[in-house]
Amino acid sequence: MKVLIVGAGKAGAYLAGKLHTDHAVTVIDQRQATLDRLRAWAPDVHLVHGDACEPAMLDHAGLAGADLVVAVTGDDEDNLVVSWLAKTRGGVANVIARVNHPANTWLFSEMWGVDCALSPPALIASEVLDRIAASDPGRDDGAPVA
Amino acid sequence: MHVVIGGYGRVGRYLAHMLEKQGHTVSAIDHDPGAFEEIGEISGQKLVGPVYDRGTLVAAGIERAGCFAAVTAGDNSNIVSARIAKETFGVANVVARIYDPRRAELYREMGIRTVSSVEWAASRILRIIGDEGQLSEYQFGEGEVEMLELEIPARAVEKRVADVETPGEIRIVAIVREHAATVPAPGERFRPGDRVYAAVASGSVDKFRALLGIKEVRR
Repeated sequence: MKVLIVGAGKAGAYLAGKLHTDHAVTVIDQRQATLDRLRAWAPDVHLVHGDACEPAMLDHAGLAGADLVVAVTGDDEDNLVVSWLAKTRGGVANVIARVNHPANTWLFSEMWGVDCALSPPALIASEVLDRIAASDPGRDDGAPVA
Repeated sequence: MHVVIGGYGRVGRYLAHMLEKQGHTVSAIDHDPGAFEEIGEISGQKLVGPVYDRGTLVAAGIERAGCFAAVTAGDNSNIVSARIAKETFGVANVVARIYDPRRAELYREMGIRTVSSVEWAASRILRIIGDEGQLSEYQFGEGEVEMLELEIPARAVEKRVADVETPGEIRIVAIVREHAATVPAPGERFRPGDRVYAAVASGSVDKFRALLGIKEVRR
């Protein structure tokens, strides 16, 4: 698969490391130092230094042939614009985007070309809430006490 | 009319004051609380939050707004908030400021009118320093037609208006000669010092320049 990852931070770098042995991976980031760190531990990943919200930059990074675009920058507005470009300009079948702030979850939909939205804070919160619920004796949904 | 302004920097503040002076009501949104500490009060609401946050937009009265202006310092915040104003809340008049002129195409595809501070400032400065190849100051619709203003170049003096017009593409609208404007007839010949105003389809600007014998200027 041809995978285009936007954002070389923790999530982007980790993902590139997981995928690069079996897939053709390209990572775009505006920060040269961040790309240099990634280069050290995933040498065969194609790195592109630039702003992925610029259509020409996405084209240069090979948007047209991408099977999957993953927008994992730290800015929700950037992830939305990247997703929208990936879908409308690149016709990419699968667009996955990170929601940094759960309050913005409602935006990550078809309107912006997002097929799958992932919100780490929401995932953590829901796991924590589940655990609390499971260990709360007042929430025992067993049979009524005789 | 109620206007919601996304971004309370220099442009946002100035705009808010001008709108209130004209009798409109204004709500301003900025993600930075410090933005509202500047001198110069507006009577409208000031809300702290992301400019594309649904709750903040609703609190700012976006549902009854006749206009939304996206004037934050970030092109993407402007794109996202302008599109939400238009599509989610159905605001009739949405305008966004662009920093990077290369993003204009994105807004055009979304049907959002834009003002590019970079392009505008550069074109004004070009005009002042007397460059021949004018950028447009006015755009019609979504920018499909531009109004160009220029001083007639030496190479085009004695050409007739009809020589530089093309049906459906280029129309000479007015000539200002010795401080008086006229709507010229097709046979009118240009004279030195004429200021010419032309309505030109955006794809035909280079053609217009070529007809006038103006050297290519990057747009």
